[in-house]
Amino acid sequence: MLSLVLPTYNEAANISALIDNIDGVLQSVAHEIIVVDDDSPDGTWKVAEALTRNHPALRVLRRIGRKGLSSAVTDGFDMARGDVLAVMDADGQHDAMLLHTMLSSLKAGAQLTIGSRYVPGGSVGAWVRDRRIISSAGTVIAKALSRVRVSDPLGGFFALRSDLYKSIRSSLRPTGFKILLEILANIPSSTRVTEIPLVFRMRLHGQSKLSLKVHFEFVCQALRLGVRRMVSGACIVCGPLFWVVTVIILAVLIPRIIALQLLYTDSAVRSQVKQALKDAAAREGWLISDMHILRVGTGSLKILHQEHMRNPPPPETCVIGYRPFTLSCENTPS
Amino acid sequence: MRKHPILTAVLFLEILALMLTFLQFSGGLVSDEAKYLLSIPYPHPPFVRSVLGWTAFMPMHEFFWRFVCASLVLQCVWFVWDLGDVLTRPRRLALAASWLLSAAVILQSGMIVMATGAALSGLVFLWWTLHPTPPKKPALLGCLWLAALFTAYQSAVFVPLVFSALLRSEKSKLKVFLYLCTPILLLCLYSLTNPYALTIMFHVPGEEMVIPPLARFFNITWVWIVAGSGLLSLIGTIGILSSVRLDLVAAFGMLLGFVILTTRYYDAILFTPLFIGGLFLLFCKRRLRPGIFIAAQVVSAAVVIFFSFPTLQETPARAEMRALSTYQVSGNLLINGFFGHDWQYESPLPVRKFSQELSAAAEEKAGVFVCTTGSCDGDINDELWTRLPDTPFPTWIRKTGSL
Repeated sequence: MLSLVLPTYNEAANISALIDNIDGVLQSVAHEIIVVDDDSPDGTWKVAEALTRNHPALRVLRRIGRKGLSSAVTDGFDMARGDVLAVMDADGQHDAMLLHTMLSSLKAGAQLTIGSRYVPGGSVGAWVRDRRIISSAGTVIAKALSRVRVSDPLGGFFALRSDLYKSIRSSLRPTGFKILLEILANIPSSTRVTEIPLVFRMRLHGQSKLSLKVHFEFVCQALRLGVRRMVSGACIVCGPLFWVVTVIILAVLIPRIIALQLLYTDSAVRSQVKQALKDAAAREGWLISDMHILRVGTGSLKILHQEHMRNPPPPETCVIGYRPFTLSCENTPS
Repeated sequence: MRKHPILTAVLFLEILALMLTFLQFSGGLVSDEAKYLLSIPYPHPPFVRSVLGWTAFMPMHEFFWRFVCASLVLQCVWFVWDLGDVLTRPRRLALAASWLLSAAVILQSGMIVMATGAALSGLVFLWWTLHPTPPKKPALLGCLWLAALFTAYQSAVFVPLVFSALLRSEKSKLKVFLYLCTPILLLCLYSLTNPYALTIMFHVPGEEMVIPPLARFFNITWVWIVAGSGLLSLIGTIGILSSVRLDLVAAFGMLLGFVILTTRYYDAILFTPLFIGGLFLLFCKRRLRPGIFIAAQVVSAAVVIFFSFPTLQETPARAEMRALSTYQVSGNLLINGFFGHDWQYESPLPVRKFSQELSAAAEEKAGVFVCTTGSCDGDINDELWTRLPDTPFPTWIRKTGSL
């Protein structure tokens, strides 16, 4: 069964014709249409609910206090009963006939199929130049964030298998308007994706939802996905990094442990070292924390005397003899 | 503002971080903070303290790191927020707010102590352990565990959480073992290279330093209260104990044992991530009403913060150095009596400790003599030294020409 989700906001003027059109187009296919409305001020949900009397396949979800196209789509997908999930715009810009092509593509083995404006035969229609430029720039960014190579990762008309959706549902963060990008950034790179040409049409009635807010939310989404991709990329090197760091730490620590081994194996040397450090501290006024033990011998120990202050003078290397107590220092080249 | 709630929240947290930075900055450094800022090699391993030490030449060094610490602690609320993804919005908000309303978070976020770093790593491990969809990045977890252990020994109390998170992220038992145990082994090896750290850890205090059991009990209770502003402490503890989650209970037990031994007030923040975990588990069972909880948490936070508000008075070391800055001084700063590492941080001169055994050569290098003990008159030769007026401690500078 096909579950088609129509996210709506102030589409009261379009919804009736659209539902009639879709029901007509899909009469040979088991389907349900789920209208997810964000409590539109123009009463889209009310119009849609009225339509359920003549369209038994139609279900309406009115969301109160929750907004956003992406979350509307996931809410619709979450309540869907079909094994194929699809979404299209409710403003008449997408051709419902393409749903058949999408279903065929999924039957042929694809897991996700996208109505693309940028494959041969597809078009953005009568968009003005500025919108074309912005869309192209967004598409370039979105392509870089997608885990599967597609030509139109920002499209709003696509269908996918419900098992694919369920497998990635918990990873999706449905914010903003670009749910397809979110899906493309979360599916396994081995997912079979097909694209079919889509000619973008002019909306039937009402105003476009494109605004500065939409652009800002896209930038936030791209940043979030980009950071996550960087972390994932970093994770690829995390395994080797962990072991490289381990080896480096061992290479630094082991010679130092060997140089200090008498401290742990010979209690007489340990007490002599303790006394020698106390004597040096008392006679020179040094602080114990400024004396860094470099090597412990049976008759003497070598330390680095390093001031801990904001602009310290160069450290000095000192040798302290135990019995009799002797101390000789020389400046250490920085 | 309403259009960009995340951006607004981030900015709000940064402003809050700035305010908390000023709160701590106004009083000056405590000895332990100076110890980390100067990368003094005990007791903690070198990862973060080295970074602090390398940047000591920077102007506004202390302020900068206080602000970084405060920002990190506050912005870590996003881990709490993400953890609450499965909760209803009011519960999610209450969970995140409970982190920000913890007295330990408010009072310690501007402090430069390693307990804060350990607490943040504990929060990340908790997030990794409890999040409904754990990130499948065991190597990253191994790296974080290594970094946490090489930042602060206290991070070791979170080992049950790391183990649990690794088990969720990695199928191979061998890899779990390696990622968990290799950092612990490296830390043990590091400890052998730093005898001072070992000495501090196994130091048995003299009789005069032993805290009476009742006082110790009150100290620990206060640490527990500050960790969650009282209410979160209680609810969080109930959540942990009723969760029957061995990882959380074991981490809580280990931390409690550690705090019983140390009773340092700034270890309070180590409890906070665990309390968040306990609260989260209770919220998952829908046992708490978030509205009532958060209202009560605001009240309890206000009370606890009122009683544990830091002193805004300038530290003795800073006051002394300010008084000294009006004089031309050179040589070493010789101190007779007790002093902390903050003296080393504040002083423009190398600090030396006075003792009766001090060699004549070492004494000759001293340009300033400060007495922090009762009286030092017997230790001063008036022909060589001039007593300064208006200094917080009795202070002498060497007479011109005698250095």
